[in-house]
Amino acid sequence: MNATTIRAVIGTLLLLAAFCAAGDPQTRPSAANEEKEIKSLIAQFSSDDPQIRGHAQKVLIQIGVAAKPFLEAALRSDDPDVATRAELTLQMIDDPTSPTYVSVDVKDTAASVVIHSLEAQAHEPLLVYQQSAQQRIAATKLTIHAIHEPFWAVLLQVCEAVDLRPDCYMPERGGWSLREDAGTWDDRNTTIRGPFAVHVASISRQAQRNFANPARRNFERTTIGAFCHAEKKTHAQAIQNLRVTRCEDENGKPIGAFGRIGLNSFSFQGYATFDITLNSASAKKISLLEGDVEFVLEAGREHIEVNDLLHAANVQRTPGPIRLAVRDCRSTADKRWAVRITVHRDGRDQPAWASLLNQLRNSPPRVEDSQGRPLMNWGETSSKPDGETTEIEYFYGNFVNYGRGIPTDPVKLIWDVPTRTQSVSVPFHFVEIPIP
Amino acid sequence: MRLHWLSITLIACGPMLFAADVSNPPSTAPAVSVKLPLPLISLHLKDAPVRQAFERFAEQDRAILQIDPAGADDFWARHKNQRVTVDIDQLPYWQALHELCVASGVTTDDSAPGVLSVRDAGAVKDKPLQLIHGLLHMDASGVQEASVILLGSHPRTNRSCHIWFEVNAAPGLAALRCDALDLLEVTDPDGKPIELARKWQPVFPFSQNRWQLQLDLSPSPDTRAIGKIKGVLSIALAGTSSAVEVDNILKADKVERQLGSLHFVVTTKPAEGGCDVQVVYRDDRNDEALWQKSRRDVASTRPKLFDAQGREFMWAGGSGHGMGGFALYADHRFRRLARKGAKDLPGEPARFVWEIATAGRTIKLPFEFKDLPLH
Repeated sequence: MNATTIRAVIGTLLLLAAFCAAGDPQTRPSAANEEKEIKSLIAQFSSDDPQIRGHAQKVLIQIGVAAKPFLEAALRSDDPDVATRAELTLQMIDDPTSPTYVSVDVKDTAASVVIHSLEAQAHEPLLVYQQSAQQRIAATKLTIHAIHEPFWAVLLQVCEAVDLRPDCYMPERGGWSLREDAGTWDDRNTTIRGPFAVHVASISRQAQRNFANPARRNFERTTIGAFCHAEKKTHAQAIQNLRVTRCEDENGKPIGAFGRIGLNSFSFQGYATFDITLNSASAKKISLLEGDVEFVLEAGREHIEVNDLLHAANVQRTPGPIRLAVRDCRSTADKRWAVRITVHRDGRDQPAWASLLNQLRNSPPRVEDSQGRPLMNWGETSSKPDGETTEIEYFYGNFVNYGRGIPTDPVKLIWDVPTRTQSVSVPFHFVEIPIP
Repeated sequence: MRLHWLSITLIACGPMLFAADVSNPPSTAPAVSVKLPLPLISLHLKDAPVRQAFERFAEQDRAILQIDPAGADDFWARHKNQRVTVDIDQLPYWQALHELCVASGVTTDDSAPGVLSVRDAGAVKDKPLQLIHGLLHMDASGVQEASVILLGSHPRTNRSCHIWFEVNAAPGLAALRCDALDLLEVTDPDGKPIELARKWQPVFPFSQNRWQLQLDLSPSPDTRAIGKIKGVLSIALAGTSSAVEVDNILKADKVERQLGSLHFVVTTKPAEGGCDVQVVYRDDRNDEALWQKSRRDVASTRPKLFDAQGREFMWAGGSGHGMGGFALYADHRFRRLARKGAKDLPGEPARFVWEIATAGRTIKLPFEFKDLPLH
């Protein structure tokens, strides 16, 4: 067990200890009160007043997951209006483009307890590996009053109070890491829209000068880096576009021209960079920056599994409209494997074919050892997508310990194959971004 | 004009050849005399055409003469009326080349081994930031700077500055790697010290006989120039060498070779346009100090891949990782790409050769650059 692992274990124990010491956390309105409120709201579905029905539905959507058992019961109501509206409300709670609403109503309560409650309500594990961040959580007490507010907004309130920032999604651990890094997100540079959050993390200025020949290889570039987060319920798999519509100085004048855009996507998270060629080298800030980011969400999935993976040979599967075969899983080097998947085009036109391959590349299968421990996925390649089939090769390694020991050889492939996708455009608005 | 190919012992001739000192070999290095054929250039020309001058130089350097950028066919026509008068007598490579460039108004640019590439001096006129030490040449090439504001409730600005240098060893000098860079002084124009952002790491081949070195500095936000940067570079020369050779490489499957204490296992994976050669090597002596030295020696040269006619494949990249204990895994990718100056493409991969040299002597190259501008 190395020092990092020991620290992580100690941190987890500290959090658990704090949680246990705090006893039963009263971080939300009492269950009895909430149940009473939900039942009352559902009863309002039979009201003759459409405004009352609409308001009840809106509040229930905000209550979210906690309201689901009561709404499911209401599906069996004798009143068809109640049943229909309950069904509609359930659909909207599960809508990937609506946020998860959570409630935190605490006074002088241990931060670890609040974080634990937030995780439980949103089904979004929050992971803290930095020892200093763990200590800060253990030492902080929070007073927060947030009732039925979107997950990201409440998480930011918690992070601001503890001075941490949501960092990145860790797919193999299934949660978000919180860490210390220049303090928490600055709300001037964070936009929350439903289950999405876009945050400007950095602005950099780079310059290169060639001493011997100033005319060659010289450049000057200003780059903004933005994290684009999506709640897990959205099944976001990528960001595929970013557009800037306004970038102005304090007088409302355009401050520069946009150049290269770089997009890196991971599960539930993307990192976008975009360059600005500033009109003036002496510009000190961007007063207003607006635009939008396009997220790609998985709108349909089918589950497949392949056992005895190392001996798999052209194992055929047909998740939804997709015909594919797990060709093999071969060792490429010490502690490294490649899983080859053959995908059939089946008459798709070129745009649909390219789109299908993109969606498969963005959602790699999970590969586990015999004890269910995931191997790390570290990339993929694919052959040219112009034939009747294409081969995608996903790469895995068993050199990372995700908390349950380092996995052994791959044994099982588990894949929620994305069968359909949809795009969602998320606008952002930032002000007062300093320029170095 | 005479050709001077001298078989010399560097230790004996070092002080004469180099402005820098030649140090004693490290205690772990074998005590061998390094005998190398080093070209001393002689060129006595009066009012000779520029083309002729460079052709004569290339003959002595045993290099192909080419024009950069390729295809600038009017290059020699433009320099037709230009005449050169030089009196170079048995000078080490870089000094001789420098004198010819100054006299001709034509300069040389980054060249592949065995290629002397010339271009108009106008494009790279007046390289003020260079040092010429006989058979070694060092340029302060450029600087890349970045200032980053990490946004948040406690915004933080980081400034980093990477200065890179290029070191060229003359063809024929069996330079193996840059082993050390002892930085004696880095100051701003007011003489205030500038901190190193991180410790300098030894550099393995950038390309044959040419290295790019990078120094990562942390100047204060208002520093506009490096006033002085002074240090000593240690270049390890190859001592004895031996080769891992595998014929019929496309069929290599865990082929074993032994070079002294090093055990090699070679496996080939076919790839489009060439092949990937995976090599696992381990040191049987199980001694940490000896292992560190031998792994550096192995990493100091790149393997080569040839077809049946001896045409070389392009080394297209590599990666590697430790395997625990005294073993390493290395993956080398070779592709069928035209090398600079090569006449035709190689055919099927046939022979794998990894010439591995043991570090012998070390040359010390003192350097000092002044007034490197920052932004």
